[in-house]
Amino acid sequence: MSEIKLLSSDQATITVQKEVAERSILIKNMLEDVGEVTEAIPIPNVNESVLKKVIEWCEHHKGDPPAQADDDSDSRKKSTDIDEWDQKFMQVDQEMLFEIILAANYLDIKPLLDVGCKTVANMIKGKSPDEIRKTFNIQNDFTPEEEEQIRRENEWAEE
Amino acid sequence: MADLPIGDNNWMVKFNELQKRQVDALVLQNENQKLQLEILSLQLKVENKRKTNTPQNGLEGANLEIGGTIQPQQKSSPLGETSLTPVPEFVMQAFDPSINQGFAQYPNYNHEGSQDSNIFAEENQGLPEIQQQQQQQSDTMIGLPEVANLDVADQHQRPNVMMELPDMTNLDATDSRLMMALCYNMPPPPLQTAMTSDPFTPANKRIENQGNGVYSMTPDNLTPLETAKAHRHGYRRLSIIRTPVSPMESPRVKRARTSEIGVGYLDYSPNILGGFNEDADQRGPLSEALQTYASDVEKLAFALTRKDLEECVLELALAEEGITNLLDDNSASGIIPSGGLVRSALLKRCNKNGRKIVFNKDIYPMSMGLNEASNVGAFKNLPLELLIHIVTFLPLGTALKFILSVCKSFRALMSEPILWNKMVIELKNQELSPDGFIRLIRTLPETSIRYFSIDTANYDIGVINEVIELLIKGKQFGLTSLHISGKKLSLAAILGTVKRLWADKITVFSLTDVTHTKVDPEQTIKQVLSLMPNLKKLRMEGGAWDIKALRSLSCLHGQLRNIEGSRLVGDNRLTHMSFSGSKTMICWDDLKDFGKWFPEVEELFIQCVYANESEWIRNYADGPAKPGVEGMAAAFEGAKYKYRTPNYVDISWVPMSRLKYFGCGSICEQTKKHQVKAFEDIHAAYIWSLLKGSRETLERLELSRGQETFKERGKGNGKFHAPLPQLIPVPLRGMHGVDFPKLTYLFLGFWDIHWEWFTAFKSSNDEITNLLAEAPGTMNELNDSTPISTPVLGFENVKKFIFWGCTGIPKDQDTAGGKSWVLDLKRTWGEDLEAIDESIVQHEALKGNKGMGSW
Repeated sequence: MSEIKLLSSDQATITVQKEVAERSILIKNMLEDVGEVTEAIPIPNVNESVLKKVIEWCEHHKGDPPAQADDDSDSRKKSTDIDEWDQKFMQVDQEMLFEIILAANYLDIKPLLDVGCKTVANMIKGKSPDEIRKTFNIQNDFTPEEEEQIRRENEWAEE
Repeated sequence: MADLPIGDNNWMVKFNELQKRQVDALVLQNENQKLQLEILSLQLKVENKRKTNTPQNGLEGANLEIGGTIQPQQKSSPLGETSLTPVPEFVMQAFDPSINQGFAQYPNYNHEGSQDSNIFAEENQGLPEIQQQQQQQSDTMIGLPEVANLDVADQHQRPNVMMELPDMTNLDATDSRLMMALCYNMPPPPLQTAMTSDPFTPANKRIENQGNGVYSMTPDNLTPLETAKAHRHGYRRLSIIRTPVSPMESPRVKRARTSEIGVGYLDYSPNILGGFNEDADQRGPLSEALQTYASDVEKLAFALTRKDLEECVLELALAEEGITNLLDDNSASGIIPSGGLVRSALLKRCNKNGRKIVFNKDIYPMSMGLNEASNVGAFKNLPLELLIHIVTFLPLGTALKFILSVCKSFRALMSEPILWNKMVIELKNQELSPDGFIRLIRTLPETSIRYFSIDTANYDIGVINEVIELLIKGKQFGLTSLHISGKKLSLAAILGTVKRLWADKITVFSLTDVTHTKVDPEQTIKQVLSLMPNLKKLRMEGGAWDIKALRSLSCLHGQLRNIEGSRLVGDNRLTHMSFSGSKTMICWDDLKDFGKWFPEVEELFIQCVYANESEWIRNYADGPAKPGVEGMAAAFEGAKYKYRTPNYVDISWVPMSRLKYFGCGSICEQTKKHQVKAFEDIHAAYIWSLLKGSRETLERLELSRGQETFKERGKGNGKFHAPLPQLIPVPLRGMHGVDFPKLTYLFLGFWDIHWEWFTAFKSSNDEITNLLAEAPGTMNELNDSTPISTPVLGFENVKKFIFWGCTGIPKDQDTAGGKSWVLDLKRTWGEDLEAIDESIVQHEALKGNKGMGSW
């Protein structure tokens, strides 16, 4: 099975099976365009540690059917269920989680992007605004008066 | 008298001149006051006309029709009141802070000029020509006191602010908004040097200086909260029109003022925000420009904290920065860009402390556009699209909490149509209160809702009507997916709802949880679905779908006609169909023609498929009887018919050549339960006809026989389960192998499985299973060395098998290495597949099932 090399933003070269790398639509399209490449493909927006994580995910899911573009475009309810393996995979620090989301977005790996976003969504679910701020280190820029106003304004949303 | 020195003579001359000027000034002042009075009376007349035109219910008619001008379309604003929509691009360009021209490019704009002379022709008839000219001049000047002769120092001496803010500590966003609108409507403050009394402050609204240099001019007949309440009940928001009133009031003016003067509607209509000139061509853009200004001011006001807003209003009143421009503009072109002053001052205030206002993101109160300066923590580096993608995974209530209550930057998401394009707006009891939902609908940007779902079961019909009304008013005409459910709905109600929400873009429609007795499928198709020419996905619940209804649905045979009876001509584009609900039934003999009726169908779910025995008897009566059922045949029909088992080749099945998913909740018969077993072979024949017709495209198959529980007569409540039917009955086992090349997911429920058809290995071989348990790594070697049979069914790509409640699976031979039947499947079809049965918790086991679909 053929292999290709990926060059991370911090100039680390990672060798990976072509089938695995082609989980990324970006890389797949590029390989289709340029054909066989011996040189490392630069991935300028992803550093080595994140790229390794992404490749780990791709290796595990290399046999999955390709995601359809409009997979759930008509879905009435988007499920936030995540496979057990993916749940464990996403048990990383928050910075890495968001880096993975950004990398999945850049590399066009929709299933991984969805898993990342679902993980963040699950972190938001069931939390109060204060807890959400605490979880994601968001600064509360409301004055107390505004907060009171918002509380009254959003009573309908918090039922 | 001694001659006065030349200088004294000059003084006398000057004195006389001054006296003359003073007299002239007084005359002019009186003239001006008279003109103002006239204008006031005209304005009152307009108000009275408007009130006369307002319907009794107060919902409509508040827009003032001026000179036949077409009113701009209504738009829902953040807090729900209808405003008027700014449209043209050039208007937005005019408001570009970098250009900063404001209304200067509209030379004929006047501030209070809604009293277009065309409208008041009748009123002007009695005026002398010169007076009319003066009035026209005055029209352009109204709202601007005699400030032309003042220098900047005088302007700074302008003592008082016209309006004191209401008690803001107790006001909510609605009230702040009203306050800002009041500020916006307010004419420029008067200068005390021109008149001894303030002609712009009605006597009954003026109160004493409170010692802080601020005069109070709060409305005495309408509080902001009252205004908000009035709007909450569906009425247009009331506001105060700042009408200049001369101290010399005519009885007519006085009568009008003391009755309902000043009560108007805050709809940003031109009579409040500015006027039209006589050039009819200028009216439209000018009106839109004014509304854009108003809208901008409103947005900016909401972007400020209350303290900032108060300061800003104060600054505006003092007009320290803008009065020169105001005067220049006024003298140059007759324009009073007070709206521009408000806007620029607000912008300046908002841009302090690194706040960046992004106009297309700040519709919602207290919101800031996402930018580098936003303090959004871990979300800082996330592009807007990804943030939206995350939010779309949240339930509506949680998403709203996240957007509105966490930080100001997220509040900008409220005005992102992309987000609401992806969110499902669902009126459901658990999510939001009716009031909350109504408020949400009012808030959302135009045409931003794509997926709308309404559950009528828990809401009063008034709430539902209001929601639909708001969707229409809010121009939510971009619906692509409409879902209606609720037992309360009759066909007429459903039809009414769909008609009002009609959009030719609707491609997904579902009608569920409707009492089947109220909804006849055929009538529903004819009346409701005919309104959706581009429908692709349909879910219907309830009703027996006979061949007539199905043919109507398929558009074949000219059955699909609209309400007027005209035949609807069009291609059948249904790709997804879901006939859900326990009462929904479709006969096998109708299903066999689906390939013809619905040539593009890709996903098909039928809750219950039944066999019509009389149909079958008619078709197969002449064949030889099935061995063993002769006795039953004799008992059942008096040996009139001979029973035989049909083969799938006997059935003229029309293949569904694009079918990717088929699901069936249960299979039953229109007969007594004790006779059921006579028809199992019929079911099997139809099933295998279906599978063989679509085997090349089928990706998911969920086939459940349904669990049968019988209650034996005379034995109390004792229940027992009938033996499960065979998926592949003996007569059908002669068929050749059936391969499913694309099948990835197989769910079989309550069937008797002929295991050899699924696996190549016999799990009874203890030696092999034990060996596997000890050395699972030797799988390939075993595969090579063990003689295997060839299974009849081919599942090369299946990743998940679910045998739910099935018999015939060798479950009693589990080893330490795992379930033997699972190992059999893995050895046959690949190590990476998953196989589960009812030993797993039902929720976990079946969560991957598609069922009736989530679209």
